Amino acid sequence: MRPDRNTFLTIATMLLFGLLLSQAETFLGDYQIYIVKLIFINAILALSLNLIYGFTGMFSLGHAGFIAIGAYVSALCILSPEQKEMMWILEPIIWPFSELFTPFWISVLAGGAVAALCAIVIAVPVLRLGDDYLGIATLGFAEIIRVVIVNATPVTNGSLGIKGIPSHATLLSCYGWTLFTLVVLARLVFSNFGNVLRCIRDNEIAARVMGINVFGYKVLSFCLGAFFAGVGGALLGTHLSTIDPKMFNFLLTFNVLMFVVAGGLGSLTGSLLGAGIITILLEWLRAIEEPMDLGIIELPGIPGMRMVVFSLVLLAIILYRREGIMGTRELTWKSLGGLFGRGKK
Amino acid sequence: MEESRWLVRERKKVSDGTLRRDADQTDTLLQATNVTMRFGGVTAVSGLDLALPKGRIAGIIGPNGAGKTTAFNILSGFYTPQEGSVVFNGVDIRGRSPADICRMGMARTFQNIRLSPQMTVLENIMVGCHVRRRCPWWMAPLGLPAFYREEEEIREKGRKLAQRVHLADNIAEQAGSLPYGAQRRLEIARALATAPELLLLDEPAAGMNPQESLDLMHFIGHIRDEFGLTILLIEHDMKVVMGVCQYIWVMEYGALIAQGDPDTVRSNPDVIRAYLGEEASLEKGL
Repeated sequence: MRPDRNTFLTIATMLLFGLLLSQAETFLGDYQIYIVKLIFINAILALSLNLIYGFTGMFSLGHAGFIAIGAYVSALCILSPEQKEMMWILEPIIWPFSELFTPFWISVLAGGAVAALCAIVIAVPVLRLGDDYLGIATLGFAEIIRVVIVNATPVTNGSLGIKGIPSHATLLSCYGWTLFTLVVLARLVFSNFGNVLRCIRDNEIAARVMGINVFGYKVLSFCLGAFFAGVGGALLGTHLSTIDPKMFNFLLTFNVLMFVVAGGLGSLTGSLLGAGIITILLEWLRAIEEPMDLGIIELPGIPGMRMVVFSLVLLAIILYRREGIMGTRELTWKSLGGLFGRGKK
Repeated sequence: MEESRWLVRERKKVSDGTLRRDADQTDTLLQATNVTMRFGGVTAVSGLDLALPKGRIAGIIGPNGAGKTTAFNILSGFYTPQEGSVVFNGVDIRGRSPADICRMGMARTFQNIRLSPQMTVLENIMVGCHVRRRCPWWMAPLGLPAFYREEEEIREKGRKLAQRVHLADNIAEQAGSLPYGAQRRLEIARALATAPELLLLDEPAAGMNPQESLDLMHFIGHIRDEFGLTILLIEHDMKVVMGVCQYIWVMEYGALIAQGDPDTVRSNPDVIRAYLGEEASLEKGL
């Protein structure tokens, strides 16, 4: 890829945005920064699922499992031995986890790596299944991971979860990890390997006849997706500072799936947009869970109302715009130029 | 002498003469011997013998359900036959995966076109180039120069092949939006991108008008010479088969009923009966 005008524009935008974020504290409140960080983390999760589902066509519902693994592994890495000794009250933490203590970035990578390793173990039996069966099997695996976390008390502190995870995930580091994910996936997906993955998605038989090791690439895509899910999970853990097994239920997978579907299956920029818009909407819709006074009638606050609205939104997307915001297209400088009516070729 | 290479039965007679057999193996690119494929109680292909020398264009014809496509699926590795052997380039490919067989130099197209409709013409062809690539996947995120050089090579090769199948102007179009004939040509281009020695074409002229079929005939001849290919095709269009093939096998109910050069096959009463029905054979006074 020779450096051209568009590459330059992209890098300049990335730097400019980074600069803007480094000054964010001057013009954004704590709550807004919290949301922006969540958007970045959700974008990583959406991108990783998009690689698996959008580009390779594997309907995986096990994302929450990989996110959980990433969050737990990184939390174990990042907490100091003393903190861990204090926190594990049900059963003492076992070696080597008790002595594990690494810098933030290593803990994030470790979270991703362990998630990817688990993905290999899961992939080998499960990826031989297709479509719906794959969804059911991965859903089951995510549940297994959750149950293991609940019961492996000497490692995970069981259902009490892990609290007081140091908040290393600053705005800039979240942005950095999102960029890292985006660049790795974009380079892969926009190279011929991306074409190969899409060919597997569209027509597996044709891919096999073209000499493509279909199973190998499915495993690769699944593990890479799991790696970034683990990275996202690690960031989520330090961002929220508390993790417990209940967080990583099917609803989390559902949320990530919603980002991907709303953004457009098979579009990286779509995933970014989907994660951004839906994260904001999810926060904004908290208002409807509070008691409302509509003048004539007074509505009591109904907890869970947010998800009702959201499920309806998802239903509407699937009914009226199945391809999502972007479809399989990407937001490029060319298309942006066209949008503003001065597209140059 | 020339004829004898085609005929398996004759070859068998001389199989004890080692010298002759070695000479045959270098010349024969694809050899199927007594291949039998059964699905449950149905025998789709029974005792099929084929021997295809390098550099030829040969055809398999036969009425619907004769087992032609099953034969193709066996040759390209989708089915493993219960009996018999398939030797490609001196290697027994029975039980190998389709991907392996493609790597060994066999490419094929499909009766029902199998392209990625949402991908562009160029991207579809580039998928075919993948099997010959040297750089592994992890070089992509690292952005190594060697990787981009190869990526550029693949793109260039894709462009050239698109030009070769007269799709140079449609390179950025979605494959699904192309007319039927163009999709067929694209599928051939994608198969060529895998750098094959043997190309299997499953009904390449299906759904084409007479002019397109005629063009296709010439096209098949040209790509054979240009890429040094051996071509085996299944076809219903008799004009195409008779015009382009140097040798023809005729199948009916899973078995070979006749073989020979087009003229021999054309005048074979069994073929006329099987292919055109009883009436035609009566009309011809056979």
